[in-house]
Amino acid sequence: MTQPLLEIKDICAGYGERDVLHDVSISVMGGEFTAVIGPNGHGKTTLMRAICGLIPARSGRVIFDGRDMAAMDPAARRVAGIAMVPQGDLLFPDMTIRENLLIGSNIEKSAARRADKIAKVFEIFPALASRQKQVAYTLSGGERRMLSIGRALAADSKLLIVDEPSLGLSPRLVDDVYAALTSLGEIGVTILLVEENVTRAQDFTEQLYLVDQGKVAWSGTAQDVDSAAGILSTYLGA
Amino acid sequence: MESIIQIFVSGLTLGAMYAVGTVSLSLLWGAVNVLNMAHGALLVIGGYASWYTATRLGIPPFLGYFSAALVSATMAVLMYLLILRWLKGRRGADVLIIVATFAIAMILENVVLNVFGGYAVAQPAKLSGGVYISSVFVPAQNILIMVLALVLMALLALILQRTALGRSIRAVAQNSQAAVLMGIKVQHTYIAVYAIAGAFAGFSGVLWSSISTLSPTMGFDPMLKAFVICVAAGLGQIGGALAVAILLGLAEAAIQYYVGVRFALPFLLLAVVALLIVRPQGLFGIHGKARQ
Repeated sequence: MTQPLLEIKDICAGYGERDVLHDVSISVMGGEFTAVIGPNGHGKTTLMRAICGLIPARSGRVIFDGRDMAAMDPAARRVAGIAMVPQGDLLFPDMTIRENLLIGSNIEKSAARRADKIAKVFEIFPALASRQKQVAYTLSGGERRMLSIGRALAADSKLLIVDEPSLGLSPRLVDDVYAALTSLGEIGVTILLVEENVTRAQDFTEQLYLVDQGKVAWSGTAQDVDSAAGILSTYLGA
Repeated sequence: MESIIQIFVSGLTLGAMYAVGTVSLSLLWGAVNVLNMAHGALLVIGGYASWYTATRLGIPPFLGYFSAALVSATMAVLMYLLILRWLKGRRGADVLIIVATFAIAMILENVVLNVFGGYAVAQPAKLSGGVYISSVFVPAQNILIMVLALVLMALLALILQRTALGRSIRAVAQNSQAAVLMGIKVQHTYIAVYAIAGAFAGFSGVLWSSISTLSPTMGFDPMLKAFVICVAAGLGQIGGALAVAILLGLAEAAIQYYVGVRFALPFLLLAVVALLIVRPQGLFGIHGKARQ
């Protein structure tokens, strides 16, 4: 049986004294799209932050590519191949598109590899290529999201975590973002997606996890979603 | 005409010195969000490092600039590693850091006072002689200060704009969480920022003491001016601070010449207060822009 690229085992994490995640376990297979769905404020983003090392796991394990990530800080996890497109993009607003991508590629040691990676990002997002010197804060919402994804891809990334890609975008721009993510899947990028919109997640992913009140309340394949409509509507009001 | 030349030479010299000194303060605020009350003490340490290496160790005086930069950079990094990094992220960290750096300043100045004594001494790292422009004598040291300030500013701009370290510094300043996600080692970047800020402060200490004298309390005036410039430009606006430094130097020289030496500082402080009433974010600050 194939080993998952990312395996979260019984993880507990939170902020200050408060636990947000309670024994959460999920698996992400290499080359697949996986979604974490659930209502707002129930731990989806906290789970992603724990995977990236932005908050420590109080118990449980994060195993990525066969390695336990416990002792690794966020920078080391990035080098290991975990890249995140955070909620709200978190671009460097006063830097140009190119500078944002250079920062994204900064873990690559050689200049040639950095240039190669950035060239590939421009192949995926040609709209960014023609405006490399444009400062990030002047970009539209959709362009910012593209740049945020491009920045995460500007170094060797085995897993791309995308937190709420549709947040704050018009339906047309959301379509564009999902089209870009689909094209990434076609070139073999593994994606872990956080999404509130179940239909979007179902259309896009192979495996889904419903996180509610910091626990995995349901998991199944995209095909299972229809038969679990009752459960999902209880949690999501869908 | 001679008075204009005189004002320009004095003003540009002052502005160049202010610029070098202000960069240190502005960089720390802009990149790591620290208001460093020990800025003046780092200048003093730099000035004495230069003096000590030239007069006690027999090293050529102009290498004093490098020893000043090295010693003050080391001191700034130690200040961060031993004290300030433990305060970052705590509740009320901004105030804690101001109090802590103020205490560090007191300690450093008293150490200098006890080691080197309270009498003012001359800075050996200075040029003698000069040139005439029209009939105005321009000291060679003034020209050196302007040239060094230009070189240092160009070097800083090069580091910040063209190197991976500079990009990391700007990334951490603009969004430290995103920088962490990009694999930037934020602690290393902070150390680099403190080292650069310390080096500039040390260098500035030599420049200041080269046209006045070196004493344990000499850091107060440059620190006050640096604060005034930073606030007038908008905290953390390094480019703006440079422009304001030059403007302030020229204004100060003009007031000294036409009104009187003792009126320059009060007049400038009043002008800054008036500016802040009209534009609280400073000349180059962006209103309502918050750090992420």
